[in-house]
Amino acid sequence: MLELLAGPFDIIDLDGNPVGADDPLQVEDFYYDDDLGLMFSEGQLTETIWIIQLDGTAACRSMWFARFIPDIQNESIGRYLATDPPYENHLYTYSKKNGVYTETLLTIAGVTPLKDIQVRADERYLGIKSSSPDKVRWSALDMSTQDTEEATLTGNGTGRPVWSRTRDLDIMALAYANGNIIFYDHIQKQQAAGASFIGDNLGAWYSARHNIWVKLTTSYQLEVYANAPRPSSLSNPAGDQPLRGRMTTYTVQLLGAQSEPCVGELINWSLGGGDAGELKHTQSTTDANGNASIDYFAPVVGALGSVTIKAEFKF
Amino acid sequence: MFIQIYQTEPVTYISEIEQSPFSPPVFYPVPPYDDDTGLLKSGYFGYLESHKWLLAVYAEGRENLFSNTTVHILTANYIYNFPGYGIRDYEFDSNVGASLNDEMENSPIASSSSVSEQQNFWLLRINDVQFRSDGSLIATTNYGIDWYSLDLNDLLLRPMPIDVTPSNYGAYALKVFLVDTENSLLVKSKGPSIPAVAEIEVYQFNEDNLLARSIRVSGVPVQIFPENDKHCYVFTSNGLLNLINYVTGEVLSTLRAPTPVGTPTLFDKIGFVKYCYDRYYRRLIAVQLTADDQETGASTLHAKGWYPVPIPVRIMKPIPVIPPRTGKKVPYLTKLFGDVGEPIGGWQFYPIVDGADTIINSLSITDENGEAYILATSATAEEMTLSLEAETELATLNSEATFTIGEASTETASTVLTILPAIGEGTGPGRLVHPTLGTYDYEKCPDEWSNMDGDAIIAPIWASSKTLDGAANTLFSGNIRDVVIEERWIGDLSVSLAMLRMLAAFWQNPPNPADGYIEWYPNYINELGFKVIILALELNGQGINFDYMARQGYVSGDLVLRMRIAGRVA
Repeated sequence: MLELLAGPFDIIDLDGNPVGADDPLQVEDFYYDDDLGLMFSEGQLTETIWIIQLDGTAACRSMWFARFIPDIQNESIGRYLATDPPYENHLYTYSKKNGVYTETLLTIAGVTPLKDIQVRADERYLGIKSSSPDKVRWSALDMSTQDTEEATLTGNGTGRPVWSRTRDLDIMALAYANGNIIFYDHIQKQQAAGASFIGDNLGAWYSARHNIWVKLTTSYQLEVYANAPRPSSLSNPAGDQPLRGRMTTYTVQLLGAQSEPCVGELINWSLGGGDAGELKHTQSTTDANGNASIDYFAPVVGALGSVTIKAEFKF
Repeated sequence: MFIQIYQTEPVTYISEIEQSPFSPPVFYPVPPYDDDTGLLKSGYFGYLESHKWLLAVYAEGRENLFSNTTVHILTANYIYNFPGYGIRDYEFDSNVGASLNDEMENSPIASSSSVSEQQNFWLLRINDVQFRSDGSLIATTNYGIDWYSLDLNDLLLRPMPIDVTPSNYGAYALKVFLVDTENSLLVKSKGPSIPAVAEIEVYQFNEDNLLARSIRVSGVPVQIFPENDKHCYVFTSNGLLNLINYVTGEVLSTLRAPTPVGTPTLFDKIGFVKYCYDRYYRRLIAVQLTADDQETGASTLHAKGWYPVPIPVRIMKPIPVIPPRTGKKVPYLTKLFGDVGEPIGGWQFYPIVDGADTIINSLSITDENGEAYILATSATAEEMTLSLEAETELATLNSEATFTIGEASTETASTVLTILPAIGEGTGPGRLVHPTLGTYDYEKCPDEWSNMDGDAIIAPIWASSKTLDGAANTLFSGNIRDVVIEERWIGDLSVSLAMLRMLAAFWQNPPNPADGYIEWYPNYINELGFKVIILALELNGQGINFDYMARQGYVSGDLVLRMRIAGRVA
């Protein structure tokens, strides 16, 4: 479980009035953006897009409604894509700064496949259906090919996940409603290493700028989580028997309470007092699986005997 | 956000009381109220004049007593005297806001007394006033169906130089629009007011009246007014202002309008707002229809000028981005933002901490995203409150949050390992290096050797002492200096005579310890090197025992080289 840093915060406007998802058509949508905060499209009838800060303070940005679609092609210039729920017959470019549609990209009448797209990647749309949450599907940019299975995921949760950019531009985080978080490499078209857990939610987004997670709870409150589970266990260093004059690698694994890996944590290494040999480094960082390794050089000279390799993690 | 930097005096208009509608008016500077009831005394009638509708506010580059520009407020007024209705043009200086109309005297009125009957007919039917991109005005009549140029010099309606038929632009009537005669463009709100559409359209004034583009804006357009010949502001029903480049179709910014959105009704127009952009002072001017003073009947209507400036309205509660623990330098994220959630950069925070022996490691200034990190380190595991303060032109903003500082934890894991000798690979026949004689590589590696494998084989040391009822035994690791090595060449022709002579030379010439040791490299079995002392060299038993083979250049029988290890070659 990721560690709660702040919240829950009620969502209230600048005048202190609660901002809720009370649109009769229930077609609200949320998306977190580092430049703005949590974008909240209240719905087709209410027609208000709010910008919500991490402490829940909301400001009205425009009079529209939208389902936000992160656009990997253009996100750096402040543009998303958006559809118009509930029917979603149009696909627009969306100016996040001004909160308005700017250009109509696609118009599809009737029962539209635009409902199924969640991300515009470099050369295709990506999406996951709630009916098959372990399948990543793609559609062509002109929708000439629709809803084709691209990859199968493991460790997925239930429902339709929320997609977030990560600090690795190739990797997107998928947060499911039951709290499971897994990662997808949209370039390699396969699941990426790592998993995490954030608890039940209406949406959870990764903030690449601050390295935190923003969660909308099932009671429409905001919570902020660290991008790391609270460490729960550190395994003993494991590796081959050291040989005189040779280098041997030792590895520990740092896990959270749900056995999820603790990624990017700094492990301090040391030898027992007076033990022979030397460590190549005194610190190493856990990888996507929570593993951190160190190289030990057994002494060329001196007596054979025992050494104690110690790994220490402070948090 | 906007900050107010200008305000005019209130409009002055005749608010005296008419004593009798049937006799020449007699005006009273102060309404004759009944002291007991607070109402007008019997026999007196209502206000002579009151605002009915707000038509426009605009800035004009015309010199006056105070400065070289003038602000105008155009209203349509009820008049409790003939003609009963008229257009007023109230003038103010653009600098100090002083009224330029004579005291207690109305501005020139566009009524039957000053314009022709036909023009007056249309004047009385003016519904609204819109802008051209050059700042001049267009009046619409007949509920937005007919358009006229409104001459600012004499407030007369004159025919439009171009034919404007609303139906050519997809509408029965045009009520919210901007005309750009320079670029031959019409910027108008899309569609009728119901259903409301948050969109404007840009048409070309030409034979085809082509729709150039649609531009989505932040709300239903209420007014479109120019900034210059390609930029305009769109004031929307939800109180937002979009600055738009209508030539390219780009929405440049979104701001919350400085004047609150009123809720005028068909009969009560109080709260209605008109905007213009003062291109001389580069500011927004707003005027909002307000009710007359209840006691004096005087107008309270005045114009205000606003600069768009980045002023924060809130400080986001600080949020730690890593778990706060004792002894850890924790970044607390906060943000300054304006009234549409826009970030405010370049602002200094004044953080104050209370509890957990916390110290602030750095002061922070908000970046271009309005965000700042405040680094703080807490020494004890208890509650800590972080308060932030920022001074703005409008108010002192405060924000605070309380955190529970956790005890720093340490997780340790260790493994005890035994170092084993490395098993090397043979790569040579063996080598001796003498400090003075030099290096000698064996012609052939020994056929047998003792106490050397991947490393020197060091026997543990066992010691036993008798005790009263037995013995105390001790076993501990030996020392490499206890190791004696033997290399043996066996067979009828074991080695060449030359090799024997070289080994004998190494044996017979022990080096001066000051020069170092003989180094021995058993590179036929491992890659290590040792400092050695040669103890003995034996051929066929003790000593060097030759036979006839020596004359042929070889020695026969077993050759033994015995050495003690003195240390390792590092």
